[in-house]
Amino acid sequence: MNRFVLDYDLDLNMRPAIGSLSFGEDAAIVAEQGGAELFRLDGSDVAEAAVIAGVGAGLLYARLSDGGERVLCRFTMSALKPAGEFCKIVNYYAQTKTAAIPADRERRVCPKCGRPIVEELTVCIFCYDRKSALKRFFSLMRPFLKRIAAAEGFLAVSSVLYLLVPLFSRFLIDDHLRPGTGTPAQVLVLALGMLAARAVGELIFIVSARMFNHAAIDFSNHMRNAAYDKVQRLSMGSLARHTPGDLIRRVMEDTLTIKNFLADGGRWAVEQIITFVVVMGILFFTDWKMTLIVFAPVPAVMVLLSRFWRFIHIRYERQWRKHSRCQSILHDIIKGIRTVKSFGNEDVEIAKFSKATRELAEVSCSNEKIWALLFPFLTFFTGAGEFLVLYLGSKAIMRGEMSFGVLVQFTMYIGYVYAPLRWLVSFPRWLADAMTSMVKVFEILDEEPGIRAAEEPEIRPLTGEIRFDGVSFGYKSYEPVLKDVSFAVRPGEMVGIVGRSGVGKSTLINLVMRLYDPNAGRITINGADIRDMPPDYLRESIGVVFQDTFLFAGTIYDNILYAKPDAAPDEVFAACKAANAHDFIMQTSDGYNTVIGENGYSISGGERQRLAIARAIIKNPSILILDEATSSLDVETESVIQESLSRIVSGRTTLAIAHRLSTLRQADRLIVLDKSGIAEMGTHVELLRKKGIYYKLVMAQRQSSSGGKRAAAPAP
Amino acid sequence: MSENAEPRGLVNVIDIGWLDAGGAEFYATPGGFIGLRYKGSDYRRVTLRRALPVRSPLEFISVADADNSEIGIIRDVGELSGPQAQVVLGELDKRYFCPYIYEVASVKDKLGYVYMELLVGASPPNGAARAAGEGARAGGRGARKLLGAGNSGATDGGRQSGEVRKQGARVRKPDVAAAKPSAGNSGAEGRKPTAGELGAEGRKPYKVSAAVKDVNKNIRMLDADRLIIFDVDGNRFMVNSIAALDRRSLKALEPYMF
Ligand SMILES: Nc1ncnc2c1ncn2[C@@H]1O[C@H](COP(=O)(O)OP(=O)(O)OP(=O)(O)O)[C@@H](O)[C@H]1O
Ligand SMILES: [Mg+2]
Repeated sequence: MNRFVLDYDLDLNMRPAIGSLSFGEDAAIVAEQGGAELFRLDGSDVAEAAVIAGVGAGLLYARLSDGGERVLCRFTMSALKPAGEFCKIVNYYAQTKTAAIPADRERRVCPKCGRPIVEELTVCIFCYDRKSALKRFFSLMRPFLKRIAAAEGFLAVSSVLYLLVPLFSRFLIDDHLRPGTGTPAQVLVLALGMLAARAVGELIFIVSARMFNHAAIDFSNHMRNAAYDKVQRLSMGSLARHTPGDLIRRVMEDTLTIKNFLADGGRWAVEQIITFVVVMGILFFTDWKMTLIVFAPVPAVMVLLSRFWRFIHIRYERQWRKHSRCQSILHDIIKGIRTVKSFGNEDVEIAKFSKATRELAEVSCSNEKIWALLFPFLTFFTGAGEFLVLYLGSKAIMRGEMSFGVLVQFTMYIGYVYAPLRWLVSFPRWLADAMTSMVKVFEILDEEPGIRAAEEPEIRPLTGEIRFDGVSFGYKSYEPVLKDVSFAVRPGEMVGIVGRSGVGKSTLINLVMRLYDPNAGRITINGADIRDMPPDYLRESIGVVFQDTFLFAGTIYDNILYAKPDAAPDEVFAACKAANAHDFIMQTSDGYNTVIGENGYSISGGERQRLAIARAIIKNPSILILDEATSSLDVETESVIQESLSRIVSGRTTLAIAHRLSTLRQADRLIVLDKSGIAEMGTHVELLRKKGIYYKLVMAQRQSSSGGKRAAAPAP
Repeated sequence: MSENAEPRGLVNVIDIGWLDAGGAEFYATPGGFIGLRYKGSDYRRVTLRRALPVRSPLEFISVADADNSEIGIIRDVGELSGPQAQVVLGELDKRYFCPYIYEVASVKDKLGYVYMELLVGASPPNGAARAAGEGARAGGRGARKLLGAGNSGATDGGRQSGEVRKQGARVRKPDVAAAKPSAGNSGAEGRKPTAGELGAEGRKPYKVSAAVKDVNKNIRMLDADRLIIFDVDGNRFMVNSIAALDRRSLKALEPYMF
């Protein structure tokens, strides 16, 4: 028999358990736990089933026909959603007496590893193979590879020229400086040769360094733009995961760190590796036994270094986060400085910030300390070979097995070789730093690979109806805000949305704008799912005034052009007149060129709202969304705006949200939301007749406004 | 308004609606809920909510009826009589569920999610002895149980964590005796376990996996030694003492601890 099964994971005493609650075509609710039947309930005895979400766990209970209530099972939050579905099926039976058992739910488990797939992703995070940061780095660098390769080539030539110098020394000493061997002319030629090699080497070096720098700067610009681009495109849900400070740091500073690493570290790495290989070759060729002795300690040092790597890596990650925390605090406080000051909390904020910086200082300090301790130690070990050379070389000369020139050449080259070795010791630190930044940038670039994207974007004129089809949504998947909301707005209709604060009105328009995607159900405009449209196109057709208007630092004119950069001045004036903003703008000495500070601090709340309305209507959108667009305005100004809006609004589909019900006078229909979804829907008159929630709201507002008048009247 | 009226303190003007502990009778219903008889009314199903789940888990418990309107606030569970307190504590244990982390088996950081495999249990690992001692010490006015820090708690968590520590409130499970103002017993022997704790005995740690999004917000230090993790489903897990965690687990968690 077909049964709908809810797996639950806690027993009634909150102990972990493996149990299931099932509902079948025989209309019986059966609980099984540990393989045995726990209880059985006749579906016709159940008046309603519901879920109560606790904190970290929830329960499903039944209201029985005799009025009693009974907990049927308890579960962790992971089972909350299926429990809700279970209730739906039981309740459907309670209402219709038909047991409609849906086909088995699509199990969101990874086909490869069997682990559950995280909500809102389409790929299993275990089996999805993210390319390693380094690989990604090189693929991003590809356009710059030619330039970098050329710079490397120059660098290699310069390094080789540089490396010739000790050879000159050796010839000079062994062939010309011993009594009775060379002539002054020969010595001069050698000396000039040395000079030339160095001079040319330096020259080429300068050229290559410049090339490197340019390539690195261009590359980091490229990376920064890519990161910024991505930040702009991230969904609201992803953006909410990061603080502004965090994002700013990734886009600006991490890309800079990478640039520095490339320009200095990367260049050095190549130079040092070339030097190392060439010198090793020459040394081996000259005296391979001695060479082996010199490098005996090196492998041990390398092993030590790689051990050290993971450790230092985590520490640098922590340093990064502390830094990011400092920035976030700074950002937050500077944005909210007015609030800070009005509460007289400057000292508290100073203390908070200095605590964060102190923590950052501590972490950086301890990282530096570890480094300072380790560095001399490693240098000493790697350098131990140098002393051996001097000792063994001197002995060999005394025994006549080695010429003096060879020893000089040897020690000079060893100096060359140890420079890269020493550098290799500090390289992990640079790399750790750069890798941390790299990963941070790629985290942004890689975000949301699993989010559904339209394959073939649909473009049709968005004049038509907006339809919600069983839409459910919550900012957190376990805390639904909108539940199973369905309605349609006809083309050209104005629909008002009312409901208590926090009920989900703004959330509803966030969904229409596709700032978030619904968890279930779909939203269509003209019959096309908005997820199948290019987001730009969708948003271009919608004019919106958000509840918290945001204006950018700049002139009033620029702020209005933000919606339509190519608007002619008369369009701007018309929009501002319609929004009743023109007059106050003209009162200012600079008119439309008046600069309003960040977030429009320098103008009043109502003025801000009027600019936002102007900005929303200038692009002549076919759909207009007004979320408390006139809430800060006096009734008179509001009615002036409404009059002009009503002229604009005609022919446009409009969704308007307002607490002040008079704002929605012109609405063709009203939707009343409550915590379980749409409570009432209809025209003003219909809803008043119904004497439901809307009626109560209207009555309450009438009463308080007449009460307000009485209080305002002067005492006799 | 008379001109010489001094502004009265907020708490004198606003009725907070403390529940009169003497006149309240909590009882367990056969259906598995708890009910309350209070001031002549019989509420057949009430919901208990902690106002300060992190700082004061056994104080300031809001009691609401089935329609979610508040009946009153229990100032301190210790004001209730023994059996009454037991009913209330048992219900709180059920509403606030937050297993303790024994071991972190693996941590994977991918695609903006951190996926953890954890070994968890209902009571803190090897915390029994210490908790019992401290529970007795914290006796007197309300032992504080630090369980199920809510989202609201999280906001007060940071600032008030110092206070939590001062109160020495590392109580594993509150014992009813200690919660009573007149608690006379000390030490572990005389304790009467709560309903929740009865079940806790013999509970074995078990494995769970948790996907965590946005680690900066969802992995959080409650104070210097305790850490809480919220997963994407809304489950929560707590490290009761970071110092007591084994090295491997600590290493796995370290990158996320701040
Ligand atoms: N970005 C967000 N992240 C998480 N929760 C949110 C977010 N925005 C809103 N919420 C929550 O979702 C619920 C609905 O919020 P919404 O803004 O839609 O309410 P509203 O009906 O517009 O209220 P108001 O009339 O006060 O503007 C609220 O409980 C709110 O706390
Ligand atoms: Mg709103």
